[in-house]
Amino acid sequence: MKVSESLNPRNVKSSSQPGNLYICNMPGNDQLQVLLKEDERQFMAALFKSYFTPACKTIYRFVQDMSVAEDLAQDVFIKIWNKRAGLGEVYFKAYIQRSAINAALDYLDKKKRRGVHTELEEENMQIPVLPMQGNLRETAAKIDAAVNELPEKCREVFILSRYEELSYKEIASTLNISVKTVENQVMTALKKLRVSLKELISN
Amino acid sequence: MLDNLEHIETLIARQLDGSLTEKEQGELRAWRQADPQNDLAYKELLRTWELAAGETNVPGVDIESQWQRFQGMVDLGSGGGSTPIINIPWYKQSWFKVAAVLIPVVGLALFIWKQPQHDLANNNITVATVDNEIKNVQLPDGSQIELNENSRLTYSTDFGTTAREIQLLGEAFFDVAPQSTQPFTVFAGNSKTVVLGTSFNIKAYQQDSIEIVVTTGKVAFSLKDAPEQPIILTRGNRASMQEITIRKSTNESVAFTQWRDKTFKYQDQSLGDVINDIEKNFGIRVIVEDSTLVEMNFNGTISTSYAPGEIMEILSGTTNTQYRFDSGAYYLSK
Repeated sequence: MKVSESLNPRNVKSSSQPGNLYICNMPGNDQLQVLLKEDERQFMAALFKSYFTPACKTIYRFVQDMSVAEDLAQDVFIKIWNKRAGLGEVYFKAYIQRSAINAALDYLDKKKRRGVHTELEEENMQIPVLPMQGNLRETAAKIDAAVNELPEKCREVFILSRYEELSYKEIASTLNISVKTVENQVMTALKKLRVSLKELISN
Repeated sequence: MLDNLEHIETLIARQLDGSLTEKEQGELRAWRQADPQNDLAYKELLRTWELAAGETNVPGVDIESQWQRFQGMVDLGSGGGSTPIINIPWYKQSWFKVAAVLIPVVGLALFIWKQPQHDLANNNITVATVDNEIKNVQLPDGSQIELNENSRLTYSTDFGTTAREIQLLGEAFFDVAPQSTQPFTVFAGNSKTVVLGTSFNIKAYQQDSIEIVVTTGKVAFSLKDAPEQPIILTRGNRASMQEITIRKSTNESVAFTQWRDKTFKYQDQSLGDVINDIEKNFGIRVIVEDSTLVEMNFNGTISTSYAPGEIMEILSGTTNTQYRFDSGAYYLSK
């Protein structure tokens, strides 16, 4: 341990179990930061393999189309690659989540301006109500359908709160609305879902 | 009545966000107890919330083909444009890595990971913690820092030679070595704290919501962008910064050190305050049946490792009171 002492002039003691931090599939943020400095290609591979799928899922919840979600997620990672020189202090997980949310919201905004959004909403309305069965997949489909039927802003707020686990404050600043509005939208969503998912709730 | 319902809905929404205050918790509880219909509505809304969290049908992602696609769009090898071509040094080539795994260098590698990381570009040292991890850091000037979980501390390699400056993200307890010539400065979120020699706790997991409690000595606490308007805090003072407002108060709770030693130490604290702390930190409900009990003084230590029953034993034992458990709550009486 002589080597370690000379390497460690600042005397950092860790109270965690040795090793258990680093033996995991997902590289930690510090590891990614080191990789970024040492080997950009490996950094990008590690980052992509850890966070591409979560980013895709985040976007999919908003846009409800997997090929669009994959395209937008690709854009997110291309932008990260182009900006890699300035990522010194970034916490990647949160950064990618945030980029994915913004990409999805931008996409929905643009779509709405082009007038395509109404079509999407009508499409969503037509999702057939599946027959009641104890099947998990069908339960999930019902929940998805119910969430997708929520009014647009309400749905965005609900997804950010429930699935992206953003605080009301964070949601308020993401969507440029007040915390009070976020609270109202969450409750509107819950009350609507309580009605549309009634048969699932009572058992 | 309609207004009231709207208010209650706001409370339920806040409960889901975890931003409900203690007073609001009480209001919500009272509303639920007022009418079984209310309680049912509350439970159904919570059930809806939980139900919606269930794994939804998000299609799978073929990560390998997406990675191939990505590589086709950016030039990773030459780094696209300004970045020079990366030559992979011999020790990073795959044949060497395979060999390296066979040699017991792994132990050392793990150890090196635990060292403060030298940021070569900025000459910074960073110490970070993950979930459930607390690190003790000794700075070159002798100051001690205890870094709470999920936090990060950054300082320059020449810390102490020209200035004593620290960047904090998250929560830490500082015990600063006195040095009259060089102030010790902590930048945390939008706040700036300047001290000469003292001990204090800063909680700054968010950029614009910061809390500081001073244990000994004196500190100047300000907005990072307005250091000329500091608030002076001395022993026992607490201040919280919300966006650009700073509120100063007297610290009456010891809960702020809870993360450090996982115990609550009380000295002549009113039983009412102690119970508030316990309800908040242990997730139990304690109802005081005789209001005079609230004013009683309590001395003792309660650890987070105790079971609720043990905590009630300590409370009732040291204050000569009785307790019973009934439908989800503890009742304390003479």
